[in-house]
Amino acid sequence: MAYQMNFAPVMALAPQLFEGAFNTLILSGQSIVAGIAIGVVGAVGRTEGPRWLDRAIGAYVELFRNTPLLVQLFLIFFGLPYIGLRLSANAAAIIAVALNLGAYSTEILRAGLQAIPRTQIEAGLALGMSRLQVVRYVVIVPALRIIYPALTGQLTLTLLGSSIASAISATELTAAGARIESTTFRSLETFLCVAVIYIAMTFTFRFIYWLIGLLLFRRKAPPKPSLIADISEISRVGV
Amino acid sequence: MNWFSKLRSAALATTFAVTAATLVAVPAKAQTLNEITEKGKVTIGVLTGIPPYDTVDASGKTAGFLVDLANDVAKNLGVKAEIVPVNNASRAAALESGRVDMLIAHMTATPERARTFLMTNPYGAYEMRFVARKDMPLKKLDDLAGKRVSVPKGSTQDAAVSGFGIKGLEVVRFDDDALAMQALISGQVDATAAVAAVANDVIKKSNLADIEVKSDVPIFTLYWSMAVRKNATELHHWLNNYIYYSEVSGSLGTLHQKWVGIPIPGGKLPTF
Amino acid sequence: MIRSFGWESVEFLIRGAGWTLLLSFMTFVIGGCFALIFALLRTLGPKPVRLAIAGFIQLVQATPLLIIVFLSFYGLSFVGLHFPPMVGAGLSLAVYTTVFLGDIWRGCIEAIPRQQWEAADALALTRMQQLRYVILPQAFKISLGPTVGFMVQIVKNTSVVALIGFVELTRAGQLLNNMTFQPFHVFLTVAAIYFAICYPMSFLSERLKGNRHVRPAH
Repeated sequence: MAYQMNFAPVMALAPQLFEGAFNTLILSGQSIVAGIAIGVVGAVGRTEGPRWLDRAIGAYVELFRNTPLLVQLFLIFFGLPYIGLRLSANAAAIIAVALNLGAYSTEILRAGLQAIPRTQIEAGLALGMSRLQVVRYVVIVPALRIIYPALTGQLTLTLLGSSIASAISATELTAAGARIESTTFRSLETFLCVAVIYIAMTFTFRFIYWLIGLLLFRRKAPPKPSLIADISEISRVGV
Repeated sequence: MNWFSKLRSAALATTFAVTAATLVAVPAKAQTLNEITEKGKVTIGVLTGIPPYDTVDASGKTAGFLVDLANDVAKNLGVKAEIVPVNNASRAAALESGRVDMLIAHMTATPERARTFLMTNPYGAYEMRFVARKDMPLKKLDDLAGKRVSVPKGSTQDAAVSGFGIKGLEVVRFDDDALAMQALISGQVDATAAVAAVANDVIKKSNLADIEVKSDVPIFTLYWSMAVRKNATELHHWLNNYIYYSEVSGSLGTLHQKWVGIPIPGGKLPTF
Repeated sequence: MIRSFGWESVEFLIRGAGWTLLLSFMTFVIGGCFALIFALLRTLGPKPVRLAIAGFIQLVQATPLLIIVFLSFYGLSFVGLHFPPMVGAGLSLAVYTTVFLGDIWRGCIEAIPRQQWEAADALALTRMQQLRYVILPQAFKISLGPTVGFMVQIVKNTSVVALIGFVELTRAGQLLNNMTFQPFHVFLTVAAIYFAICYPMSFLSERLKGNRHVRPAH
């Protein structure tokens, strides 16, 4: 007897999956905004700030990049109440994912900032550009161009990594899948559906990133950094 | 862009076609008693990580009610037991995929689940109770209005609490019973719908003076079944027979008493 | 059995960490072999093969690891291949490793300037000899830093195989917490062990990448 795929019981509960997918988008969207903000502050703090600040941010980065997100989640959600800080599951998930992304994006953005030589900024100023123009055209856009593949790769990993938040009762896509699986016992069908939704979301976002990249960098591009630097940046992403 | 999207959709289509084809084409193993005897061992998926039903020692070895039960099943089949630890998320897949021959994993035989697997007569039961802080009044279900209640994701507790229809009650779902209990202890939820034996065990062992099992709210007893694949009817019959015999011979009750410290709740086990 | 957090618990966790290390090593070896094949085929293979591999990589990189492990582990069982949890876990994590490491290594091979191929060709080396003596040694050097960096990801990501019943460090932490209900102690210790394993590798990885921040200011 051949194994019969039967999607009907899963399809009957499909609205739960879509609700979960929506929550995944909200959850990772909020984490991404917060995480990038942390990353910007962290990167500027590390490059421009005093030595102690560089050290402090460096410690934060290493702590979060060298422990699994799941363990960070457990500590924030179940551990913090022991020192009197109680968070809802979704809040804990957003904070954990944001702190995690913050650590990775700090390093990615820092690499971008450091790739812009000081002399280039001085040259911009000498050309009579205003400070704002220099920051925009000489620092941000070229730096972003260098780190764009790594940064968008990291954002994709964040979207996918938010699936781990299901362990602490956040109500996102993987949690919705797990619940349907437990109700119907149609495990393979459920997780195939979940996978397809994740793939669809990721591809949509990759397309959006590609469009944004096109808009941002359509002007005559600065010399592309070497492929070796590229690899080194891309290998910095993770969860 | 054009070639890019084409490439992606082509790749997507191919991969899924291949995956689907492989999955449909492969026969699931029919588990007759003969096949198990010939193989010389039976692979049993056992739920772990829920004390007092099972415990893990410092060396990582699992022991407990379900493990002993699984070993006894194998002994009565006259073969060796291979115990595969499963959890709530993986148990169905483990059976469906043929990774295990059967599951003894705290599963209540709901009609919905029984459409996918053959569920045996119950081998055990649990009382579902609400557990909350002592100072939280809980005399009737409506006292839960506006409260946050934790449950194991997709469990029968989940179905029950979600189905009560209490206004403003928020169901908070965790991966397993212990995490749902942890959420109460950490104060993330107001109450948890728990297996009474699990809750009592936790309260006693961890000296949780301010938490109690609420006894006023009427709640039901639910039964646990073993599960086999749809086509393993012979094994299913045998297991029903085994469960009946272990109950009347008293060995099932003794085993439950040994690990959980109480007789199986609900009196005589039902059959269906 | 364990009732509250103490030395016995730490021992239990360290045992879990041993499994994490073993599993990471296995994953790296299996995944690394496939990754090398993928990287080579994707740079040198015929076009259909290149496209198929690129498509596969795109798909897997768009799926959460949890789901990949789930589908590949039970997928193997569905096609009748039953492995002990250790091997099954290693194989399903290898799928993920292959895809990411394959991508990194492809980049390293492509980073070797075209002139190197041409020079090797001019020396009348065969394709295999060009790879063996000219390209791969250089690519290997470039890849060291990123590869060690990715090993940190492997170690951390082995935590998802808890799903398929394998007791490694994170699952050991969960089981321990189910027995002691002291999550702060348990998971802080778990985090500390992960850090002790991963930080030296991260450090080494940055060292191997060298002073990549210094770029010519032309």
